[in-house]
Amino acid sequence: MNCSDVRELINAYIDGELGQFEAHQVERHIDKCESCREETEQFRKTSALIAEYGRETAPASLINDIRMKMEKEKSGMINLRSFRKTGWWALAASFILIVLGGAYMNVFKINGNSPAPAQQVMAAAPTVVKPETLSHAAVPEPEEMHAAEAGGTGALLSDTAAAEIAAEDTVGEEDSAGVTSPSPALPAKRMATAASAPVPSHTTADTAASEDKPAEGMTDREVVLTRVREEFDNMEHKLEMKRILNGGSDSEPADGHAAGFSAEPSGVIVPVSARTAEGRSAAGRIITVGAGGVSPRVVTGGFNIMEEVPSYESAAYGDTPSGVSAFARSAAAVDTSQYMRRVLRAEDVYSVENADAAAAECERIIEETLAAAGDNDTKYIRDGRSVILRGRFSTVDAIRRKLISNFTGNDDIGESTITGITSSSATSTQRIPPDLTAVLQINFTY
Amino acid sequence: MQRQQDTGDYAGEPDDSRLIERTCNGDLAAFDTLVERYQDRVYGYTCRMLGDPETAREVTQDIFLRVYRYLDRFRGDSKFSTWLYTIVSSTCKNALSYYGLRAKHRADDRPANDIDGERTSLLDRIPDKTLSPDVVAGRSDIQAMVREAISKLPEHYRQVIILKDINGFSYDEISRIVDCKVGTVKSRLARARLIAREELTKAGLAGPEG
Repeated sequence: MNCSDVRELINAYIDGELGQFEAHQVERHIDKCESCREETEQFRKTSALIAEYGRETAPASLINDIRMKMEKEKSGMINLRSFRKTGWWALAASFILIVLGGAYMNVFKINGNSPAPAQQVMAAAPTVVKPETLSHAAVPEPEEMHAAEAGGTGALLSDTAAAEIAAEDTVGEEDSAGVTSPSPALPAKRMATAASAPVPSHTTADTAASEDKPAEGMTDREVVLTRVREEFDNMEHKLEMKRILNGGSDSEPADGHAAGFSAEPSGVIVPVSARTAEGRSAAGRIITVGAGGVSPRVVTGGFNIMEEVPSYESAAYGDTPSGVSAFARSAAAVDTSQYMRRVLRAEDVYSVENADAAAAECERIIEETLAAAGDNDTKYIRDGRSVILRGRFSTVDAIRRKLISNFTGNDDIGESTITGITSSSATSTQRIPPDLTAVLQINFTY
Repeated sequence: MQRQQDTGDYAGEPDDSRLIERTCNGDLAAFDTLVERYQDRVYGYTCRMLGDPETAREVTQDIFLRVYRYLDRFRGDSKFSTWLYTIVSSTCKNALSYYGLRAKHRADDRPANDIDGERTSLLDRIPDKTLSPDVVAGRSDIQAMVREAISKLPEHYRQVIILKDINGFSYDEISRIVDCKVGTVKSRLARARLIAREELTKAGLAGPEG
């Protein structure tokens, strides 16, 4: 064994990682060769210095901090696991029912069979027919209806629904930004009025659905079919909102401000339907951020930090069949950008006498504030009585305060702070960086 | 020299597998013992990897929360410490991605170093904030210099040297934690020690006269 061979093995030798034979050969060589002996000592010393001085002692409060967070998680504040187990299945199942419902009716129409009883369809796809929204249903002209059916409403819905489910399934894995549903009962009429973002042109289906017509002469089946189409329209609209919220169809804002970090497209906005009963996001752990002191007339959720971690957690910690090695592989394979995807999100609901007027007023306040702030990165979209705002936290927060002040008269709102996992202990708080991306959803109801 | 070897043998205390079993049965005190057992090592790793004690503290909390959440999925195919460090390693990697991007946005336009053909990224040049002036001047010069030498290593070199020299894992265990071949661990460790040695020599801590 010559010097070159030995030097390749020195580190393994001092770490005791060589086999007996190789170790013996190295020993014999360094006994004779002073240069290699010196080299060995140098590496040994380097290793010893690092071992001795590289260590740390954990802060004394660490274990308490962990305990507090565990308690919080236990109390259901962070309830990701339950959704992970059942939520996606429920969501997927509801979409499948919609698709099947649509396809079912389509088959009957084409074959000229007698229409399926409305009750059956309603029972099969409860999410399609909502009594509270049925009275506001937009009913298209008969020829429009026919065109839509001939084009295969069921098939169209099927593709879109599948894409939607895929988008939701990949939340946290892909660069897609998720989908936002502006409100649980989305009005059919659209008023996309993003201030500075380009609004994609509406599809034919959009136009048809946006014309409110009386439901005269419609059979129950046709009414149901209309509702199915509206569901499709809503999905289409969600995708449109997603594009706008991303700052354009395909591209990111040039300087990356609106998205927070330019290499990262955006945070994920969780669809309302994907939220658990507790109002917690399914896309990841949520930490409540307080902006206290609001009037009881306003239901505010506070700003929540969302981190996209489900794919990371489920893939990396999931059912990997062969122990740690497979575990490590899956952990390495999943997206490692969870920390890049922090986005603040808040949802405020205002109960007011005239919701439409309030929404219009809200839009005006947003326009004025954006103009005054000169913030081109913060964008908003209004859809009837729902408004979604996305951009720099400082601007979004300022607008939020103005709105709360305007609609409740309450000016005494504490500074928005982060508590929880991003602070050093559960009781301490820290200021929210103004450049963090924030999403504010405002709904006006009666 | 006192190395924090993980032997899984703790005199007079229940071993890891017993603590895991008890934790899974709802005994939080058992989990506390596990945390106490590993917190210095995990915090040490996150500190050295991330270079910022406050972030390291947050990330360490996050790591143990995950461990608690997924402990029932640990099957005992390997040592608990190896399983734990796969979580530690990937969580730190994610944190580094995040802070690396932020660093990029701070318009850091210094040219990247070129160490033996491997360009160091911005992530590799995150300053170690544990090196505050008072630490350097007041407590231990040697400690500060050693930590600085570690912080100057590229991320994948830094990782293996911490896992080996500070945490005492074997090459095989490191290969499973980092998910690479044992040969890769060997070569990375050799490069890491060579660079660290050069840095320590410059600081007067190593080298022929060191």
